[in-house]
Amino acid sequence: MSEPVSAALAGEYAVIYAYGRAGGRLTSDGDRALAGLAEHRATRDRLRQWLINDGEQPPPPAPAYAPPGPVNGDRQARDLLATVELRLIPLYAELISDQADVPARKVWAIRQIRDCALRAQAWGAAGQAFPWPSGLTPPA
Amino acid sequence: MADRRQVLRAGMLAAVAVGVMPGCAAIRDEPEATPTPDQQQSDEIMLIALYDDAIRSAGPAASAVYQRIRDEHAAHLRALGWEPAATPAPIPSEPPKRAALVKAERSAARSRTTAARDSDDSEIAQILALIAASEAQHVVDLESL
Repeated sequence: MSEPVSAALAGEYAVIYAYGRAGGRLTSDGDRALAGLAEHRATRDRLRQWLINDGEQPPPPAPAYAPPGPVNGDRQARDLLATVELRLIPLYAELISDQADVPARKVWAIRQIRDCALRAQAWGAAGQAFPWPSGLTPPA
Repeated sequence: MADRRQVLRAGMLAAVAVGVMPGCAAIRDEPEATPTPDQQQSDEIMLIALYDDAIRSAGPAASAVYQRIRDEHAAHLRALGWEPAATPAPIPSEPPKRAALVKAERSAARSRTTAARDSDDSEIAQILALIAASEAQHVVDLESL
């Protein structure tokens, strides 16, 4: 069982849920939210396929995920999306190690970090030398 | 005979000295803590110099963004094992245009992604991937100025 792949999949489930929660609260950038949601669904499907290809049963999503804070308006919706995007980054950093022997997967994980960082930035995350969730220490 | 021994001895010492000298020269060419930067480190040193030049001629708003990005590159450089120079680069005749900064960031981000892919050290690969992500963000920062 590849724990890091399952962990990344669980992370994607949580982000997809967050997009659903936040989407209705955004007063603009609905297209950006829909595009982000589509990207995360594609990413989720890729990770599920990896597990299936490796002979493992992908874990199902949880019925619901608790957002880190209230999601009552546009500002909080953007903060939620920026937060959940950044929270995926350590999971993909872990995949870089876990999939080091599978070059295509390793490169894909590297690109996911960039894409999460760019989406987080678009939702208002402040610039960081090492894009990473607040409260956690980046590997650098 | 004594003279001859002295000559031989002097010759041997000279030979030893000649043999040692390349080593001394090598040590002198690479003084403490200043080996040659590798490609990733050189990229960061170049980017820092570009921003130092850009900051001097930018207006207040752009200057603040340039300074933040410059400091992030300094953090990248440290993470790559190289201490940023304290003294700024000399002022060039013409400051870099924003498009040149965008181009340099894009090129650096591509180079990091390739280096992360090729690195056998997982921790270095992770750091390079994060630097690539940061540099991709810089492109957006610059384009929205």
